[in-house]
Amino acid sequence: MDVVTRNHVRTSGRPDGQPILFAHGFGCDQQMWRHVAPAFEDRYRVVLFDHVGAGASDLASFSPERYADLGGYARDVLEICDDLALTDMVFVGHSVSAIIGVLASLAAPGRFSRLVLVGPSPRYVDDDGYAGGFSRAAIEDMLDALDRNYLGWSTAMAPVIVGNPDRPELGEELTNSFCRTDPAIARQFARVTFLSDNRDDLHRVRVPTLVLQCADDAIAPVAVGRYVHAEIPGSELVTLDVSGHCPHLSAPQATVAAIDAFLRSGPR
Amino acid sequence: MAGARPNSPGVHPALQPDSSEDLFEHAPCGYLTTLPDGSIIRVNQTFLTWLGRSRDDVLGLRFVDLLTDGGRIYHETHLRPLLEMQGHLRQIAVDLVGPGGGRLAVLLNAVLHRDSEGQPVAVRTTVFDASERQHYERELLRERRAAEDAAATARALHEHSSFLARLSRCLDEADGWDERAARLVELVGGELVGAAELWDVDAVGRVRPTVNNGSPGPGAESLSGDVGSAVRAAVDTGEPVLRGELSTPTTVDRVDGGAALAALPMTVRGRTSGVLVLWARHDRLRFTPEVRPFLTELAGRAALSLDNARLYERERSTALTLQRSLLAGAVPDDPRLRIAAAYRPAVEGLEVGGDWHDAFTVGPNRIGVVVGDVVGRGIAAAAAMGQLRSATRAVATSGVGPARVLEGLDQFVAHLDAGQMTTVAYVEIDLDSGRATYACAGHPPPVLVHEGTSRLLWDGRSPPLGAHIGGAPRGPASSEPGCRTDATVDLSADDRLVLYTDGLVERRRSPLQRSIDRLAALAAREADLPVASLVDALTAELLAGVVTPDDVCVVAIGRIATGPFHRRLRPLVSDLRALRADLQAWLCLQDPDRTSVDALVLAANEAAANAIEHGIRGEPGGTVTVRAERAGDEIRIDVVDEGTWRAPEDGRFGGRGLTIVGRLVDHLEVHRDGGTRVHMRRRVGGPA
Amino acid sequence: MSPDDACRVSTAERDGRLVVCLTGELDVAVAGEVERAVNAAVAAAAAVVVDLDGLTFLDSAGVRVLDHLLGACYERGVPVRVVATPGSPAAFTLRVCAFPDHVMCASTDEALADLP
Repeated sequence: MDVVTRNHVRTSGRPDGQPILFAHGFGCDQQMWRHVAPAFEDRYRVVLFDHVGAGASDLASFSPERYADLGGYARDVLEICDDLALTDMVFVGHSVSAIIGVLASLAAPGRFSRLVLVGPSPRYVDDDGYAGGFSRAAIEDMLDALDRNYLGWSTAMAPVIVGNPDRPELGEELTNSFCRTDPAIARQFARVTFLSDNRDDLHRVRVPTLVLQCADDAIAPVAVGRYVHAEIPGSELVTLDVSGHCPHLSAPQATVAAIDAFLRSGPR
Repeated sequence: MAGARPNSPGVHPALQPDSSEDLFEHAPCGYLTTLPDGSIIRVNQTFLTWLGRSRDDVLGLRFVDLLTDGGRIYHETHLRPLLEMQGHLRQIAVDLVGPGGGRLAVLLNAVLHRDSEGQPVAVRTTVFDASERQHYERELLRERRAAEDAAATARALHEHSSFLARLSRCLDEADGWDERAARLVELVGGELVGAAELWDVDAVGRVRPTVNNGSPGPGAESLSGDVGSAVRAAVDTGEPVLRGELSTPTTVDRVDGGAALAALPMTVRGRTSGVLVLWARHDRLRFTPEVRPFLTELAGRAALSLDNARLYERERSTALTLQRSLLAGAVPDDPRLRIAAAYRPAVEGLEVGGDWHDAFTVGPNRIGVVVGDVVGRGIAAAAAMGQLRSATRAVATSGVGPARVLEGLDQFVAHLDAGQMTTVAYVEIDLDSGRATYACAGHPPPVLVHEGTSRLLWDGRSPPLGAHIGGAPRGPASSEPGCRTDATVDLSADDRLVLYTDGLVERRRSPLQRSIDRLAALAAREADLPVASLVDALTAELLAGVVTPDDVCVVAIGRIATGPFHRRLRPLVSDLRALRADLQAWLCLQDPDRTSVDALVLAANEAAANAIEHGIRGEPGGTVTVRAERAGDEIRIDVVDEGTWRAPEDGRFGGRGLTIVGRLVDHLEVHRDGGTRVHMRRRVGGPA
Repeated sequence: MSPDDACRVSTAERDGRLVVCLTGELDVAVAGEVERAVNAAVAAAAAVVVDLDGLTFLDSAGVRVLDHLLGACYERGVPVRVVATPGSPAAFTLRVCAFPDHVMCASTDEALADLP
């Protein structure tokens, strides 16, 4: 299985431009970036992909061992970089992918020229003196909610999708068809995402970093954004006056403007 | 009997005029309307009744506030993105917080309304009671999880995955290949299995053991033995090889129910670069067929991490070597001008950049000094830098002057098709008059220090190389005469000129102008240091504690004239070398015999070393001053410190230093009064 | 111009003897570092030649490094010679410091021939 098929890698923009890689967060797929990514196509080589288990990725490539922690996903990112020969790259990661980007940059710092972390959180669960925003019980409750919806979804919807593989336009008609994720994989991804603790990785980041924070975010609260900013040496924090966890969907223009300003600033 | 027909045409009693409002309020499902940010602006009575809350209570809340904690995460990560992307949701199960804090299982349908511009206006949601369905689902889930938990592999899987997570982190924290390899065998051999050993596979497939963690008989094991053959098999098949009984006895425990040895090929980017050999221990991981996937994953991760380290080391070292070889090279040897430079590569862990500096003879009495910054990093930038460096020399030595030199470089960049947007500061100095002609192509302004104050040289500016100039497109047009300008300034003996690249001053949180002003102030304060020490002081101060992703180049230029010589030293023995260079140049201008130059340099060095070592070392504010002047056929040097003399510990060295000084000069006086003043005189002859 | 390249220590083997070449400027700032490097280089040598002709400067702290080296070699019974061509910067400093003449040689060849 080649990497491009495995991760449903799609490239657009200038083939000779600096690469900019967009990584979607938990709960969705690369379509999340559809209002943001095109704005970079005139100057960059834009690369989009789906994490294994999400979107149009190859579900058979999933193995519980490989994706037992975020390191497995970071490894996928590095393999995509290898396959496409991406260097001097801008990495834009949303939510859990922000942390995946951090891990990838630590493993291969030379590849990354900038990190843009959209709504990052190194730890969701409250801990001794650390306010991640959620109790352990809340996380278990969410995993539960996830399971119940997939129970309904997988029985009612799967045949319809499987029955029309060659007519993608039908996708628009299908209920809740975006962000489709294999239920078993989603459950493990959720577990890995919401129970991981990557606080100790932040201070080792040596790539110029932008932390893009929403002013009213129930998943990654402002205090967590400030924490990430304080831990990553020399990072920049921009708070968007946006509610929710997905500024790239709810306020794409402001998101594009903030990323663009960061990429044009400072040392090359 | 009109009017007696109960079913006459008209309105059924249940459908009275106000009933649409009634239908909304008391429908069998909950209705609510929210703004795009989630705040509730309309809600029906049915929904309020389910919640057990009043309308005033609920209006103004956000919808997520009504959900349980878990539902809230699910809403923010799934439902809201989904709604924004496809405009509607169908049959989504969530839990609301019901009366008394209990859970209220519901199903949601929602539609996002947009205005004609496509901007979201409101979300309309219907809510259905789903407690029945929920009950059924919970049963299903419980059964499924019970089945999952029963599986014995579940726990092992968890242990394996946490080990892999720890391994990845542990390896990534280490810097080079050696360190990563050592950590790998230490962690795997020390905690997971009995012992581990890493075998190297070279380009032609030969194997040999490299790093181990107390494994039984590493090195002594012949290639035809158990380990060697397992390693070979692993390389040949690309699959983990598990071996049961070993023919040679090992110090490792005998293991029942699993193989004694595992050889794992470390394959990455299509090449097997090594084999990880594991020996079993009875109370640790068993090498059974079930753990093959885990072992494969373990080796895969280790391979990637080691390979990344190797690739990175290789590229960085190539680029650094390339850059060093380009930056090396003799500075023109003329006592009338001192040029000192420092290059600091980008912070550890990043690729080298394209900064360069160079100094060369332009004509009989003229020296050119350049500092430049090529866009980008790594080997490509270093290579472009090398070409531009040679091009600068080639263009400049034709004696055309700075503005024409930049035009020549424009032309070069247009043909080279690399190095566009390179910034350059170039200055030519007339060694007799001290007149400096300079030009900057998009480069930060040089700093001139004159009589204790500094100013920025903003004249002679034009855009970066290959940029659009005066509206003309890049290419031949930009190389037409007259596009580039230069300016002049006169340097007197104690003036300093500082050229630098933006890495010295560019700070994420500070405006560029402020950083440059800080540099200028600092240069003024430190201008009386030896020229090389000035460079050192600027980089030490401006880069202290700074994590800069950019590389840094600094060049300081000072004229040497025949008049009195004066330098201040910091309490650092490293300043001695810089002092010697400046003093030697000054002495050469006095044109004495060669022996006198050597003697006076050594004498001043010993006196200054004494002053630093025993007078002021470790006193942050302490300084040593060195003055020299010519009086007739005599050269007089004074070395003064304001420190408190501390006798040398062995009672010998300081004395020896001064004994030597006594042999080097005709006259020596040592005054200790608070600080120490060493006064030396030597008669000098003509050139030897 | 960085301090770490101020003075370099390199070694070569000639006729079974260890030749240690010092190049650059040996002064108090680098003396400790150079001393460690030289000690490590000569630890297992049976005969040593220290070639100072590559030095462009030598100060009294550098002379002390040579003095320690000579002392250590005498103690171990290892013959040692110091090469400093007359007129070179190192020879100048050694003369001023009255460094023992009998270990000084004008060239590496002379030093190798002079060793027992």
